[in-house]
Amino acid sequence: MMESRRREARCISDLGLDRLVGGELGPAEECEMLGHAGGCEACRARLDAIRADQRSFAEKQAPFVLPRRTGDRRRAMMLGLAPILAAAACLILLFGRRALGPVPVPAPLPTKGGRALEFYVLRHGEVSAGNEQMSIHPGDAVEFVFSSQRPGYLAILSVDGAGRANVYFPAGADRAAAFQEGLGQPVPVSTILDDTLGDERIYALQCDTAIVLEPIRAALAGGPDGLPPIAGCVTHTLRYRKEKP
Amino acid sequence: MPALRPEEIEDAYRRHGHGVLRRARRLLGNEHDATETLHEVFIDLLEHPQQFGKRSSLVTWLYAATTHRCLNRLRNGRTRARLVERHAPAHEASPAGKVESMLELRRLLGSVSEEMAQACVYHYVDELTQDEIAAVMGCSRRHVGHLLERLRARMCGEVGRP
Repeated sequence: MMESRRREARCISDLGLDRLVGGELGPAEECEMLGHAGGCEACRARLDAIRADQRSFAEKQAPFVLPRRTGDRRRAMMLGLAPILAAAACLILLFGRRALGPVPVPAPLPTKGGRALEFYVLRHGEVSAGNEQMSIHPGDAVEFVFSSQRPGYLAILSVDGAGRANVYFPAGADRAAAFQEGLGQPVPVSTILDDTLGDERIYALQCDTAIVLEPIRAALAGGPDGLPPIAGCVTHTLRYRKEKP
Repeated sequence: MPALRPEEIEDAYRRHGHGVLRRARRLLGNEHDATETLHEVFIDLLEHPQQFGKRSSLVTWLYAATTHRCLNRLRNGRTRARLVERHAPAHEASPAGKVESMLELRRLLGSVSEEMAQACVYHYVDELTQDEIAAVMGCSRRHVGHLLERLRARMCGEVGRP
């Protein structure tokens, strides 16, 4: 396995060397880099190491793992890339795209327009990323993570299957809590779900100020139509279904 | 721009896969996750070849795709570990033997915006120049400079915290 290095400012970065080894550079750029590497012991050693790594990788034909999901169990096929490509092409031709099954891809990093509110479920010691299609059970532990490009104030409320509205976060507080910018920040409260079955709606309010929460909770409890727009806040929602196991 | 054909992706896997694996190992700190990341990057490219529009170099694009995947894994891993620890502390032990500075870096990556996390990886892990970071991130060098300034300010704030 290759070690990392501390690079001198005048030396070539790994990106430059990767492009050189990968044959992506034009003649002038390639000549310039090779010229530098010829006179720089550190870059020459790094170039040799990257070339050796590339050869080793190609010779071993590192197995290509195609992960799939069957229910909650994950399995993987260890195969070479060429058979995968051939099989994939055949399956697509024969059965259409769905025949391959879903390839699990991690949820995209929340960016502008991306998903700000996500949740994770702990059941029997196993944690899985939550999604709106999955069935949640009483006794499951749920934790929310929130992503924001800017600091502000956050509150999370829920309406359970019986129509009861609660403030999840900040628990027991009158107003929304300050929240920093960042990706996938844990909301510092997790909940073990009670026995109330049915659709549960979650509302995350991302606000410019520490809004008062009781009128919002009361509005949610008073009607099934969701939450009306709130000045100075962006509302992120998700919904999951709580069922008996 | 025409999308990559399957045989071009296979060639790219053999030609550039080592670089994806090397960077994923460095960012994630374990071989299993790094190998899965390698495969996810290329499976995703296989399924959505149009995402690499041949507007940048493929190596540059793979740097960005690998960073994106690794940041996602770091974030999911932290959340999983935290939830298990909170409700079932006996199930998993935290892995030992990691380099402290990389642990600190991984922790920092989860507490900043996506853009800053990417800039952090390219600057502190890959040690790219600001021009190179701009090329990988598809933004101006000036913007990269601003991101790194904000990142340094954030890191100074973290150090000052009890």
